[in-house]
Amino acid sequence: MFLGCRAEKIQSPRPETSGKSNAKADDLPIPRFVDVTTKSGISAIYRNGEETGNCSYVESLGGGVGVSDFDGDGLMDLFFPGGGTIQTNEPLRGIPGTMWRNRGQMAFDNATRAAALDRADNYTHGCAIADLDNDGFPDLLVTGYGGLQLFRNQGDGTFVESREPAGLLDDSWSSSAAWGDFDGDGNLDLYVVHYVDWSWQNHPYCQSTQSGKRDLCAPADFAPLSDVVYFSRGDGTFGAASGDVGLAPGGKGLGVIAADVNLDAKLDVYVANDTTPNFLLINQGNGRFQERGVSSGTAFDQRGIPNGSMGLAVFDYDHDLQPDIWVTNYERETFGLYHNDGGGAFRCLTEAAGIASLGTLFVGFGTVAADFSHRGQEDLVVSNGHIMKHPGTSTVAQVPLYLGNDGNGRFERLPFPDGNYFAEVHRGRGVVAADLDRDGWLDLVFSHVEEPATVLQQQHPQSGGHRGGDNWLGLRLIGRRANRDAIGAHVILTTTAGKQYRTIVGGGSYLSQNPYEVRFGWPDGATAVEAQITWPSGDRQIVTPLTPGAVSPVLEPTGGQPNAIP
Amino acid sequence: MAQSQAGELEEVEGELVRELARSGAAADEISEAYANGLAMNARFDDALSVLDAWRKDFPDDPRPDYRIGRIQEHREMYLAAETSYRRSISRDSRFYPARYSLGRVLLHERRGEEAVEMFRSCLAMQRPEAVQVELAVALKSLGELDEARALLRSVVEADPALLRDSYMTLDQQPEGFKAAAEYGRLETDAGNFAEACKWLEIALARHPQDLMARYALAVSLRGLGKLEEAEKHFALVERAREALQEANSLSQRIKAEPGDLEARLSLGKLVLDNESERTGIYWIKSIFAFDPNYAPAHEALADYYAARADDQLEFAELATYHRNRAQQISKPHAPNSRGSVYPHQP
Repeated sequence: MFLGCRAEKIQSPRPETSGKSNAKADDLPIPRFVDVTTKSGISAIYRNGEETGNCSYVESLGGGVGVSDFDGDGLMDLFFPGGGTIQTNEPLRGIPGTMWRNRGQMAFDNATRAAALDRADNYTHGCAIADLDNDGFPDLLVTGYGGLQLFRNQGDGTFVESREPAGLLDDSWSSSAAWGDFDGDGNLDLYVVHYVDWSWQNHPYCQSTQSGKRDLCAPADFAPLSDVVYFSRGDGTFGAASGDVGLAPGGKGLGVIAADVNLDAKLDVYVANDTTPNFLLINQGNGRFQERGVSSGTAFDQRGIPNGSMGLAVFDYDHDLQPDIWVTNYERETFGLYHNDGGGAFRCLTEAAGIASLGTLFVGFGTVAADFSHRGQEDLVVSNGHIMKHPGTSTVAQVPLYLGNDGNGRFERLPFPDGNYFAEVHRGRGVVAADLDRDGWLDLVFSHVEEPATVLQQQHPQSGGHRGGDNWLGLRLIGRRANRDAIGAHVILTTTAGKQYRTIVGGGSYLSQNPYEVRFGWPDGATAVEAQITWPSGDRQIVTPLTPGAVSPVLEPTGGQPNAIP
Repeated sequence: MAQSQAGELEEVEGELVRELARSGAAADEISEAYANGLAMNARFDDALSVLDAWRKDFPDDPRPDYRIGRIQEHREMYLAAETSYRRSISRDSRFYPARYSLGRVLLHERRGEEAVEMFRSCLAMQRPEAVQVELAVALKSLGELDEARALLRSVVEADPALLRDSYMTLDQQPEGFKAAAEYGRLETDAGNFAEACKWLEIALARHPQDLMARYALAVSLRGLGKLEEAEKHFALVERAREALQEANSLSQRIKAEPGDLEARLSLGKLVLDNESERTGIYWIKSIFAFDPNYAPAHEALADYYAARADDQLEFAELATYHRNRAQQISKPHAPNSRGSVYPHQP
């Protein structure tokens, strides 16, 4: 009787607008992304339990992907939350996530069992990774319906679940999470985004307005759940806080990013809420926030209307050395490009950037901003896919987007040939960018709903063995007074072609975790001069000379001379 | 026919139906008036039946398909509306109301380049000012700010009577001064905050519920460092948006049960207070298609007209009329409140 609720056409036709690209796209380089999923050995499918036909709202979120060097071998490993199964009126059951150890040469081993990660106490969605105890080994937090899971990395290739001793007893429905030192004590705290109050006791019958068939409900059918921040006590345990530290009530949150958006050396939080105004929590110091979404210009779109927001990135698209905010949204809305005017004030300049002409049918989720082509411009990648089973004019599976930054404040949607991942439809959710094969070029990993995750290798035959050429560099900041991952730090790179800004954020994308490193590229013929690092404490450090064509670790100075490790 | 065109169908519907049955040379005019009256009373299926008959009787007339498109657009059936408008244009390529409306649908669907093309095709009109506004909006959506600015600038500085004529030619009755609002929003995006404030304030004086203009004004005031003033406008937008959150669930209730009069009244009041007087009044009046004796709707209309009795002469009369109706209906031995004046209503 519930058959009508199943997704009928997983590989449904792409939206009519999908084949179109803005003019001038020919001027921008199109990165060559090749699907190497099979070769990589990675086989990870997020299961949302939709096959039972319940149309439970929990099915809508999907799962993300996390990338980090879990074993400290210098290669980026991957983690995929597994999702869960659904039986009517029964507690949701989790499916263990999968951990993939990078062996190099774009080959991965399934290390889930060996890492003792083959357990799922909850129906899961997202992951947030950070080195909580500053031991050099990243720990893993998994979000989901009914609870968090915290897997402590023991450094020997195994993890131990420690949510209870850590005090992360969160029995709500968590979507995304972001690590960051919100009270400036050098220890990582945790912001957890909660979604809505769906349960079997609150499971209305909803139907598609287009087809009349049973379908998932809308966010408006549920009440919002308030977010929570867990402050580290510095001893491996956490204490929860919410309204008492200035968090805004409600919100229907799906995405979160922690970054110092007003450059006052205090880590702020931006939350992407579904159909309700987005939050911008300006850090007042000592772990207190003030919600400034509306007056900052980041709560609404350019029309002053709240959107169904999901994915997030912070980047500086126009080189004014101020962090701008990028938000992916639901269909019939535009994605949000919030230009930072300074002092915590933003304007939504989606139209001026040419992004409003993408069409209305995309449901945008995960997103990353990065200089994929080493030309000094941060492009945008967006993973799309509908949440509804019968979306009417749109489709369940949708093409992802690659938006090239033309360097003049505008973005062009780049065309990809048939057969390319970017030209095919997917039920996209999470996306991360990382140099998986250490060739200097950023690769991409996408998570989907009920569809295998995809690994895209960026290939550049012309660069041969030069590790992506010499017009890029990466910095892996290592905090000593600050948190080891240096979340909240920002870097201004001076090149002979101008200055560029990057920041190390907590959270971001959608249900996903990107690596904590900054990467820069610059145009051919230019050279990098120096990097000015502003650590989370506000202390500044100049790094020079720089090592192009490599990712260099930089230790936070503790009072002596700044140093760069070659 | 004038009464029907204005949505005051109650007193003239019977006569219109008889006229239509007699047909004759004026059948198209009667059909148009009747269909418009039905549509304004939210009797869309009835209106579509009239329009369909009109289309069959006058296969070369672009108006029936255009009218059908307008109803489909109102009901958020954008694909169908696009088809209807295109059909209308195919009957008469110089029928600009259809071209203009098609451009608006394309713009709504974020098909900016197609919208620009469609609006450009209307510039040959004798009075293209209204088209210039929408063309500018479409260009702005593509990031083509310079041309959009020039177009809007020329419209806001033109004689208002010309703009009014232009809208009338296109069968449009915009609420407020859209050209000024859009020009102000464009200048907000461009960071020309002083210029933006000037035009946004003009726009808001004409249409205080224009939340997009008010939001842009708040952003521009903030950009000028007038933080307290900005906060005031931000707060107004926030409150209105919060109130309008309920509009979605009310719309869903109405879609599921069109006869949910309480939802129609709540939605009407909500929209009236926070977004658009015209749309709010439309929703309240839509109740009369189901129950012309629904006292709370008459009371709401009486309140609305009474509060604006100084604005237009007939508002005082309308206030009295609806107040009396509400009182009449509320009397203990009032006629069956579920009764209908419409002969073919169930």
